[in-house]
Amino acid sequence: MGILEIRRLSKHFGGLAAVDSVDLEINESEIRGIIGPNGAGKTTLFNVISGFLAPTQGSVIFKGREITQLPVYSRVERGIARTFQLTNLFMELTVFENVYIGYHRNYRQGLLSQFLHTAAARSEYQICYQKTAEILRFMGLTEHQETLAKNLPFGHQRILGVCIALATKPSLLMLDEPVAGMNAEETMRMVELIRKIRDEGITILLVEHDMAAVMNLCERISVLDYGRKIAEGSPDEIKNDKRVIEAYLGSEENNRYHA
Amino acid sequence: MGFIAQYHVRLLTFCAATFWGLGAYASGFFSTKFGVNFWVCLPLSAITTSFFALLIGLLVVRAGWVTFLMISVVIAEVFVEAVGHIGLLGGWDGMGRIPRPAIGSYVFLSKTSYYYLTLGLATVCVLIFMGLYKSAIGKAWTAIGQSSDLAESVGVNIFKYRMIAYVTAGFTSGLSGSLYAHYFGYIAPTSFDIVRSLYVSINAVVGGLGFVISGPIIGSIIIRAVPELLRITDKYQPIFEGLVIILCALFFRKGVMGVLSKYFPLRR
Repeated sequence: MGILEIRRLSKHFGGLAAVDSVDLEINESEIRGIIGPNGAGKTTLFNVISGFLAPTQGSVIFKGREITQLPVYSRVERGIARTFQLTNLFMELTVFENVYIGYHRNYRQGLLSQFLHTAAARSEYQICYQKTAEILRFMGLTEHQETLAKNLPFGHQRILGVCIALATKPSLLMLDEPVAGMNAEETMRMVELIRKIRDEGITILLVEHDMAAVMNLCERISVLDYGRKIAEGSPDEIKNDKRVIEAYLGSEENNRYHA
Repeated sequence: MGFIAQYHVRLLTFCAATFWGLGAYASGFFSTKFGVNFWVCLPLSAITTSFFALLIGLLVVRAGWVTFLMISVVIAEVFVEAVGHIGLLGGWDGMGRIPRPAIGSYVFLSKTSYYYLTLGLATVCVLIFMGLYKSAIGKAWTAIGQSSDLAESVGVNIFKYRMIAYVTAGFTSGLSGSLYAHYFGYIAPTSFDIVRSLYVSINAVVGGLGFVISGPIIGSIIIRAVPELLRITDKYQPIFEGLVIILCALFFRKGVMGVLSKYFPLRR
């Protein structure tokens, strides 16, 4: 059984089925990609898994336990972390502070001891500081740690987004278009980092438009179209799948028609 | 400061004076009806106010922020109307003969002695908020203020931290409301109407919303104390206030503290 299982999951917005009874099983320590034309329901699926949206039907099972009804913060406690499609950071804080806040759920000391700044609270802060520094080193952002997030170059901002998610100590990391808008060099760096994270034993589920990056990075790929899963398999299988080609060519024709 | 803490977690409210009034009325009620000592009344009214904040908060904190703002206006209006119709609380005539606080035989009668009492309590409030901002709670507040989605995605229970801000604001409002009641000895529902609440937000905006402790202090000094010093009569005070607000809106978007911190860089 996989680390994450999704059974007959649907999400309707009014009459529109953004996600239509999708089944998905993600194995531990794999890098899984979800692709599909615009409006295929990828981001909606993402939001349902991470708890930002409640599904209309179906269930989400994580590490063998049903989490469909849980609020976002308890999913984080169980080890699901996510990043956002648009760069979403604590812009007015430094890089270091951004990641440090990600450690939020790891504070164990009570309010009173924090208030009085007891030794236990201090040593806890110390540990969080070290962990934060560790993540920044792992992701190669140490030299920027005092920069305000809003002043970082775009590529680094996206990496910082991943750092924040990592600070929650996830076992499943969900990346929403991690290389969108990046140039070739930045994309390559991000792909390497994602591999490196996986090698630490973290399962990765990503939604991406950049086909080259997806084909290069993912071991298995699931394809969505109009909210339904139309194919699943290795990159090579997906490349040659008739339904996938149809879905993509069809949408390209539509785009040309509208343009 | 309570207002800014709430603003920080995106709970913009127009009923700050309502909680202030709750504190004042709780204090007035306990001291005149039951003869409770001021030193008991003070924490009692803070607790009463926090309790009301908890009840109201449980109902409204989940609302979206525009809804929340509108509900806060309703709460402000309902409070004034309701208290005006409760005979036990003196109705529209208000409630009088609230005694001045005393320690043993010493009564805080003079303005100076009351000033120091108020200063002491203000310091307590400042310390409460400073402690909170230093702790994980303050970190969570900052996170929610900067991006609530991202805060949620790293495991911050948004509802919980909004409630903490709401109730803490209720607590300190209760304290100051009680002080107000025992200072003037007389309270009426109209003292706590929505205009008062607007002044709370004006103080915060003028001081600088980004400055959680110093902002509201500086803001209220400018709005309250400067007209006194210049001996401006009540008639002209709104003109002064309007001027300050317009200046802040046009030139000092980060408030007076925003300007000060630019020229006197302190630690953030």
